[in-house]
Amino acid sequence: MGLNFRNDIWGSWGFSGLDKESEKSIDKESKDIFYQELGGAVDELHVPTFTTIIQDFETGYWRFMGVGNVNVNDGVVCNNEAEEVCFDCGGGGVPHDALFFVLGYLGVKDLLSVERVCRSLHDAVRSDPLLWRSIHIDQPLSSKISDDALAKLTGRTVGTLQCLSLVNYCRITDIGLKRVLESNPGLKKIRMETPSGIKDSIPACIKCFLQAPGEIPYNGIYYDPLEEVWFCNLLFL
Amino acid sequence: MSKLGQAKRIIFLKTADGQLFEVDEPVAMEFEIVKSFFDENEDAADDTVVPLPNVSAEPLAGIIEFCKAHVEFRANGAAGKDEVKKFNAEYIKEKSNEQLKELILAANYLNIKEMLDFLTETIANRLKNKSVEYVRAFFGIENDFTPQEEEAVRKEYEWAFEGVDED
Repeated sequence: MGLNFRNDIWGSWGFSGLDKESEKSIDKESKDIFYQELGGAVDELHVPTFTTIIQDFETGYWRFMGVGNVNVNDGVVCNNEAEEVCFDCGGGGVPHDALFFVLGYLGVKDLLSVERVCRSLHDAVRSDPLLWRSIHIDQPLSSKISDDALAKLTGRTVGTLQCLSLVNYCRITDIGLKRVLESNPGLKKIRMETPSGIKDSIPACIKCFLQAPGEIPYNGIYYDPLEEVWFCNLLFL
Repeated sequence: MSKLGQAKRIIFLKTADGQLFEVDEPVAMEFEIVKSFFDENEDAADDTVVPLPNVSAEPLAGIIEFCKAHVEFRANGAAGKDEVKKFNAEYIKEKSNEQLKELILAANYLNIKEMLDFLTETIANRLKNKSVEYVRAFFGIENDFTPQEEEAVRKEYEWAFEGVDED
């Protein structure tokens, strides 16, 4: 559910939670991931400042509930107050609570803009790996993004990237892509297009895993010419 | 659901500011929170008043208007058609940002997925391709970064904003 704003990019396939089955599996997975991550985060805390994690059934996301700040990863502070349902009317220059619901509908470029608005939005955008699990980069960003920038953006998922789509990219190399593949074992879908087309752009690291569509892949990647995307690790879906 | 020939059941809802709303059952059942209230209290009396301590009258009135129309659309088999789009566009047009934000919180609390999706997407569309300054001004958000922090945040993803017009 949480990622259904990118349905237009991924067609009917994906993590949109349009059917109950996929919704369930994603939720369970994200729950596990979050418990793992929180396990790590809790160890680093001097005082346990949050009480529980709840599923936000509107967005399908898992939310932290509690008070105070939690360090989730790489020093990013997650402001939990922002995720609680409270009816402070948002006066005094603080972003209205409703804005935090909107984040799931924004793409990469807009998320990067929003995190520059103020501290609480900055923290909300950076500390929520779920916002970054499906990364779609199109023009004008795709022609500017470098290997390092891609690694940094995908790193926001803390290894839980599921979809990556790069349309008309120029500066991403096979090495950069390999790095993303290696650090995100859960990656399920990749779409890469250079300005000169798709076929030519199949990077070597994907090519060596390439299998014919319809074949049952073994922890591998295959290309679907109809959807023009590569599917990875389908065995584990 | 009320059957034909049967008197329509009315659900009573009481808002945070003490207003009593009388809502047709099919419309009230669009609110997941009200539905589960009656699912859990099957023998609740017909005149039970459901308290909604987190919603005030204004957003609730807006939500009832929206849900009522959508219940009718579904009953007429018009769901997903242009008629619905037209209604949604009109509905949004009349709402200020402030009202929209209150509606989002209320729809979230009442747990009305369809409406929450629609509202959040609308706000997201108003944010798309806008500059940082625009977002701040549009939503009345104060920049609470120190100049050093702001510079650091700006620099980090500078490549993404090169050549972007400030609108």
